[in-house]
Amino acid sequence: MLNCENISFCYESKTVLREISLRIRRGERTAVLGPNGSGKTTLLGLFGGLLKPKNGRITLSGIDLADMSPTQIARRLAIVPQETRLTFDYSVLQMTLMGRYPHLKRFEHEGLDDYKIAREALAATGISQLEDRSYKTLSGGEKQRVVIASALTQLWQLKDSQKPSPNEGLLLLDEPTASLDIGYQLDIIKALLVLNENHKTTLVISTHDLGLAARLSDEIIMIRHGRLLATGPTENTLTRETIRDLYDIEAEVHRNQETGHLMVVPLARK
Amino acid sequence: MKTPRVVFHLAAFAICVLAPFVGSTSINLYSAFNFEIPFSDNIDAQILFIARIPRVIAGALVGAALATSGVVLQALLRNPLATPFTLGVSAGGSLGAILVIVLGFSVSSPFVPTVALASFIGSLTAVSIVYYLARFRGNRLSTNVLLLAGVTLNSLFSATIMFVQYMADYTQSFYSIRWLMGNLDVSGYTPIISALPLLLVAFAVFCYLPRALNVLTLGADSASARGVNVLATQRLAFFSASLATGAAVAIGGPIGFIGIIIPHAVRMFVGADHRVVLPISASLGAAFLVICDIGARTILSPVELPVGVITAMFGGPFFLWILVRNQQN
Repeated sequence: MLNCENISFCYESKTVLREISLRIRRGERTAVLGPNGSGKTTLLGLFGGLLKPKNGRITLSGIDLADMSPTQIARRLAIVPQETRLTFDYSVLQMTLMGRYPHLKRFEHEGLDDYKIAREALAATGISQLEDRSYKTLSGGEKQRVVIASALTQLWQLKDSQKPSPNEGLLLLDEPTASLDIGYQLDIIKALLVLNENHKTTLVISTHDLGLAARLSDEIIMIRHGRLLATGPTENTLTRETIRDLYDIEAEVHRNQETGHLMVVPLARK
Repeated sequence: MKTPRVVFHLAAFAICVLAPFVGSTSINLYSAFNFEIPFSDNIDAQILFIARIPRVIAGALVGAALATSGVVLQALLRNPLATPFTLGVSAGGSLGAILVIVLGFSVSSPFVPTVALASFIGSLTAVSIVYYLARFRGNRLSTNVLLLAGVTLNSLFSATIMFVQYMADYTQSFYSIRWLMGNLDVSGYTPIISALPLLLVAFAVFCYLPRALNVLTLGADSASARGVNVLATQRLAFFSASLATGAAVAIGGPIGFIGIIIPHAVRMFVGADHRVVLPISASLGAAFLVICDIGARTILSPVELPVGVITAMFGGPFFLWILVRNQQN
């Protein structure tokens, strides 16, 4: 679905990413791991078309991102930032409907179909009951789910069945749980798993939370100092050795008997 | 409590239509509309058609322009405290006007009064400087630089205005202070007609912006990720709001307060969707300034007050009342 060929990126004279090649397949759940400043957010910005690679090229479903208009990109992939602050207050439904931006003409108002899609997205993230609430009064976890619903509204289209379906949707999430307490983190993880399984949404999540990565992802991308350190299926890639190389820490990796997921227990700084 | 939007527009329209008939001198409507009396002898018609109607039109245009510019700039700068005067446009315009008043230049132009022309040139200068400084690094305008450059230019121009006034003689100084208080006494249609094309261009752009402004309040990156061309939107918003402000200041001087309270009052009534907020702000801005100007014309009649005094003295407490009432709900 998303293909990076040899991409590099620099802010002015500082090179942030060097010669990264990787591939994200449809329906996958990919976690992007790396220490602070390793280039995770930049990589997501490049994936999302917010930044342009200095060298190399990124293709989305076979088309070079550089050849696509912002609206064309926005219909195929959506970005969920760590936190979204509003200047003015909108209701949850209004905010979700903003995802329809790339689908409407300049002077067009949202129609019944757009409302239908927005309500399905709210249902998919489990916050239908919040529809009329004002965004600013919500808790952090609820806010994040509204932002995810808005992103889904951006990706979904009504097909013949009158049921929204992902239009080759790719969701990029930049540390989506970083500012949330553990309860809300689990809510977000659950919502994301539902999306991936029931709606076939492809997920790319940058995170510092190794537990989240182990729990949620089936593929892992590790970057350090702007270089690709390791990539591959979570089972093989999330190991003592790669974690040591990535963060300079000793950690224990074992399987949780109850859930069957990998678990990472950090032990000490090397 | 949901008031249908059309009510706001109808009320505003009614206020503007009735306003010319209210004033310190009562006019005889029968003779005002009696076209058998020659116009030069018909005092009632002269008051109505040369003094009052242009003044109400000027008030409506200036009020609508300042209120909508306020909405657009608050969205552009993502700052609810922004006003049409935040970016230094009005200070530039004021400096232009004051220089002409004090130096006594007069270009005999049949179309545009010299002071208004100078004011507009001053506004353009300020806009160009601010834009040049904030010119994109990367793919958008820096709202921080816009704000800081605007606020700094504001102080710089205000200081220059004080300097010019200090050097001026008593009469000139008096006139320039009066101009700075804001006044809608346009006495004729020339200033309105010359500013109208500029305002129409700005209003046309305002019609084009609302959906992008909504998404822009999520932040530039989020807007960009939803397919908004952020730089193009910022440029259009910046130049159209500056144009409207420059034209409004050229007509009526720097009339404060409308550009900040009307947008907020409107949002309290109808929410933050710019597709609704912008047109209603235009109507309420027009109605509010026309009402304030009736106050300016009549409260101390036969003495006229500068309308800028009224907007803040009466608008302020009114806005605080709305604010408190909204907190209670």
